[in-house]
Amino acid sequence: MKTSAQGFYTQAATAVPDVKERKKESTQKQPARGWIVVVWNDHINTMSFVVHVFRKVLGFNTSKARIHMMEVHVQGKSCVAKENREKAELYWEQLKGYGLRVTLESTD
Amino acid sequence: MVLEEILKSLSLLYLKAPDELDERIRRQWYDIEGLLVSGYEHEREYWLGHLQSMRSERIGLISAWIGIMEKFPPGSPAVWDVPEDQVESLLMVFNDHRLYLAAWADIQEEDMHMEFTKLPEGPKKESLLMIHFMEAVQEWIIRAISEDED
Repeated sequence: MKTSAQGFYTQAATAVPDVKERKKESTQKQPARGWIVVVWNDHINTMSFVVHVFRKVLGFNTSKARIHMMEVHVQGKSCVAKENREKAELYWEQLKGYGLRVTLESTD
Repeated sequence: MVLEEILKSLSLLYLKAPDELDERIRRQWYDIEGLLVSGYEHEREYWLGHLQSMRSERIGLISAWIGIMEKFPPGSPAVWDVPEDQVESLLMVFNDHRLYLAAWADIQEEDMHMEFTKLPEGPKKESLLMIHFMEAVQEWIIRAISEDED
């Protein structure tokens, strides 16, 4: 992750609204199981941008967003959410929309 | 105007399907390997199409922004008031441009930390200049909206 010239951190967090309903063709009802959303480090997205995205998409407060951002920065990745499949996919696409590197992992 | 040219370029790229893009850009913008390894192989086309539609949906907004910029008097400072409900889209668009340049110019991590004056002239240096410029714009926007939220 790139260190911005002027690191700064914000206070209040507001989550983005739910995305519009997806038209997905699925003939099978997926069994309920846990999915982990993992954000990975890269050398283009800045630290403050990642903090901002975590606040907006995941609803983290500033402190939590910074902790997860530093995990990404230092450890290379951070598990930012553990949800059912539907919610995990929503987070994946929203985080991808901001240009972050994201993967989904099943807890099974 | 620099931002106007960036927006025009992006709007053309957003129209393209992932497989129509240069492979470097496709890997940067449309990387879905993180889904495929989790058993989503059968949904590959859906997710690629979904990511592309997320981008193409921004084209209307980008066109509106370009329309605003085209009215700016050439060579003079201008003020661009971005409505609050468009700011997140603007951040996404600007970041897409940074990612696009990084992929196109094959910017490596060490390039991002190199002293700018020591870089040889060429596309990589030009791309880094723009990547850092857009970073500064992003940072300014994030700081501005964060102050509004406080």
